[in-house]
Formats: sequence, C-alpha cells, structure tokens
Amino acid sequence: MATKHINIAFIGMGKKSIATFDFFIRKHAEKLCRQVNIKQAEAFIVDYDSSNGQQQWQQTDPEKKIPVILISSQQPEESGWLWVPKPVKGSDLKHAIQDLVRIRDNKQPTHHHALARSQKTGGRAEKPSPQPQDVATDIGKIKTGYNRSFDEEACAGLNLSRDEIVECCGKLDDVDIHDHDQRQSIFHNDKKTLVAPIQAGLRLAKRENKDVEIDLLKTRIILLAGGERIQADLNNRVIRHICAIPLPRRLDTTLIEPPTIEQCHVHKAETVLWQVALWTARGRLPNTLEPEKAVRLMRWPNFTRLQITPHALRIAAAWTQKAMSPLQIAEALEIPQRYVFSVASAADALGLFTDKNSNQHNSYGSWKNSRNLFSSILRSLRNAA
Amino acid sequence: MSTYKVIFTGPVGAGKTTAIASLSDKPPISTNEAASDMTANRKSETTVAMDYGILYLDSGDALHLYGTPGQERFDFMWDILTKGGLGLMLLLDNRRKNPFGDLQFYLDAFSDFIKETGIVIGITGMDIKPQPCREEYCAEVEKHGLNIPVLEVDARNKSDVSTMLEALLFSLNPT
Repeated sequence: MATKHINIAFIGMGKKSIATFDFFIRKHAEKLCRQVNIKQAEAFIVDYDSSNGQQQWQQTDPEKKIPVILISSQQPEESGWLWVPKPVKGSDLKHAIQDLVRIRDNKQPTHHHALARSQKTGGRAEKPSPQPQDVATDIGKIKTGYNRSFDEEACAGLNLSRDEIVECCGKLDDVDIHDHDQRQSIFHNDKKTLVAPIQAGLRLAKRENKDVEIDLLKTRIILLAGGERIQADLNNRVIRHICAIPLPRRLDTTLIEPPTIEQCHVHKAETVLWQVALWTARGRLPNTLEPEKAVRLMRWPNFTRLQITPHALRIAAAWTQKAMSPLQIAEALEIPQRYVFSVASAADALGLFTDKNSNQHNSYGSWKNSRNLFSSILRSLRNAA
Repeated sequence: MSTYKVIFTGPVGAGKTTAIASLSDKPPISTNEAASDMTANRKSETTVAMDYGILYLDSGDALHLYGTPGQERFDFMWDILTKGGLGLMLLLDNRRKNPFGDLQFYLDAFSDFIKETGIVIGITGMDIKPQPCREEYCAEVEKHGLNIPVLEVDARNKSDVSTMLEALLFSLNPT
C-alpha cells in the first residue's frame, strides 16, 4: 500500500527559503509530502537559526505535539527532535521527511539525524544511545576522571554563558585516539573554514597596505590596511553560523577602497582570528595539528584581549613551559580534551605554536603543590567579578 | 588564618595603585605624597612607601596586595616587600619614553625574586600609545630567557587585573 503523503508547513523562513524548499519537495519528495499552510500541517520544518523560527514554533504548537524537523547550523540544545544540519543536504532532508511520515504512522523511524530517533507519539524523539563521535555530553561529563568541581570552577567567572561555551568548545566527549572513527571526529578541515580566508586577507592587507573585504552575503568582514585590525560585528550570528559549517568554496578576499569605518566594530586582528577559530573548531583540532605531536606555545596569548575559554590560562601556562601534545596537556591537567583542542585551534590560527622545545630558563618550572591556595584565590577573583 | 602576598611593581604612573584598587576587597591604603621632583609632571601624587590592598579568600585566608613605590630611590623597600611574596605583577607604561629600559630595569632589580617565584607583565597605556606593540615586549622578554605572560592591561579594569593575577598563578602551577 502506498504511503500517504504528509502535509508540511515551514516555520521561520522567508519567501525565498520556502520557495527553495518547495522546489526541492516537488522535485525529490513529491510522493512524501506537500507544502500546506500552518493550520493544515501535520508536521513542521522549522528554521531553528532564524530569529522568529523558535518563537513562531512555540506560538504555533506550544505543547510541541506536532512532529518537527529542526534545521540549524548547530545542534539545538533542545533535544529530542529530528535535526537536519545546515548546509542542508537533499538526502538528509528526504530521510528526515520519511521519518516524519513514519512518526505520523506510529512507526519507528529508520534514519539517524544526529539528535534523534523518534518516538511513536507526538513526533518527540527519544534520546539516542551514546555514539562516541557525535553525541553531546554536558560540560563536565567525560570519561577521564577529572575533577568535576574544578571544571565548573573553570567555567564560572568566565564572560561566557553556557551556550557560548558550547559555541566555542563544542560538546565532544573525550575520544579514544586509537579508534579510527573517534579519531576522525576530532578534526576539522581548516582550509574550508573562515579562518583561512581571514589569514590570507590579513597577509594581503599587510602586503598591499589596503583594505580587504570578505563578503559573507549578509554581512562582511573588512581587514583594514596594514593587517593589524579588523572591522567585524562579532555579535552578528551570521559570522558564527558561517564558522560552524564547512564552506562549499574558498571565500574571496577583495581589495577595496577605504570604507566608512564603524569604530565600534573594529577589533585587533588577533581578537577576531582567535574568536573565529574558536567558533570554527568547537572543541576540535585543525587537521594540520596532530593530537600526539608535542608542540609548545612560543608566547602567551594576549588573554586580556582574547576570549578566555574554560581552562585556557592553565593550558597556556603548561604549554609555554614545555612541549607537549594536545593529548598530554589534557591528561596532565585532567581536563576534557575539547578545551585543549579549542585553545590549540585558536593558538594555531595565530601561529603561536612551535615544535621546538624551550631552551629558555623557566624560573618556576617546578610546579608547586599550591592548588588549594590558587583555587581559593581564583574563586575569590571570579566570585567578585 | 594564612596570609599570602603578591607584589605590584613598575615605574611611576604605570597604574600600580589603580590596579590594587581594582582588586582589593577594602579601599586600598596608599601612602601617597605630593610629587615634588621629576615625577611631578607625570602625576600629582606619588607612592612614597607602598600601596596596600587585600583580597579575602573563601578559605578564610587573605591575599595581600602590595605596591612598590614607583621611584627608584625607594628601592630599599623592595626587598622588604617581596619577602614571602607569591610572585610579581610588573606594570609598564607604554607612554613612557623608554619602556624597554623600564622592563630591563625591573627584570634586573627583581631577578632573584623572579627566579624563586614568577612574574607577569601588564602593559598599560596602549590605547593611547600603541607602539611599541605587545609582540615587541615579548621579544624583549625572550632575550632574558623568559617565556612569561605579557598582557595588555587597563589598570582600571578589574577583569584585566584579575586575568593578570590568574596568569601569574597558573604560571606558578598550571595543574
């Protein structure tokens, strides 16, 4: 018996986006679904990144009874719904729609969508069993037995919300580096991210002493002549989203005439590059850094002008004193690997690593047993902040 | 109750008094005098003996914050102040004529203390005079065989001074 199509409505999307999705449905999923208005819908496809997507979804279905596919660049905090990551692949979307149909028909869905396998009722999905490479864990819940309270301390007092910590450091659980699949999950291709064009643009701005533009369609980044400063609205979510997805092509860097400078959005180049690298890495390593290879920080990052992530200062302190691999740092400091990988990615973007060991005199190389005192001082500093 | 101390040092006008005030749980005590010599054109008052502030710890202990006088003629105080200190917070004023000379002076003057403990450098005034840049300070520090935190700092900004102190502590013990 042929499966009856499901009526779908789009939420949080503009006319152009809806037209694009509608075109896809007509072309590739005509037998599976039809686009209808919200009142007639048996299921929704929600643009979870759009400012009004979440709000409109809440207003339309406050009890969350109607099956939903969430489309977003980052895995939604709200667990249990079918999720299709951006950039949307046709096959992913088609599989998700097939699962919507199965949910409606009270059958188990057959496809994985990173977040969920659906329940029989209401479209709400049950939590998947843990998969080492892509399943989120809460901050502090990792395999190695590091001190959880100290981890919470490290997150407290930072100028970051819990969500922002996830945006910078991801949620990856510690991996067994000898397991091929797990190992692959800790890398990102830094040539296909925003980091590479910014680095190239800064070199161009310095060499030509002219302003360079990176056009991101909905916003732009201007690398000011000399390559020392960047004009970018770091609060603009478009930049964060672009960091979170692999770019389909290398972004162009274009020499431009001096633009009107918006001083409020002018930052030191290292501040922007560090931040973009964090958003891009989300707790992973660039594929140019080996997790087992010993490297050393040539210099301390300028942490008063850079985003500080959990344990970042400890990591920098250890990494300036001697060459260690990212895995050794995580082990020595008893912290989740993702925090080390985040700092490693950002420091690498700034070119701060060397593989040479230090022949410098470390006056205080022997780490003293003073953790209780220092923890107490840090708590006082952070509580008062 | 145990007491610990951190020393703030640097040339006159670098922001030691302000940095201590940023961190201290109590209004800091300063022994400032009207400046009557070459320091008068930098600030109207200068620290003759020392600045003092205190940070109360949740363990019941206290961290004392001492600022050295900014004038070299009071350097006899420095040995007294540094005794038993956890480490050194060196503030350098980028607006001064020869900030690298200042850096050299303080690294030499406190070399024994630095060897036994640790140091972090905060560069102030970079918003007004950006050159020399932080990387040049790092290069100067490396000439002394040190790889230590060198940070841009606004002494009025508690977050900046806190980050400096955290960097010092983690330099001493990252674990």
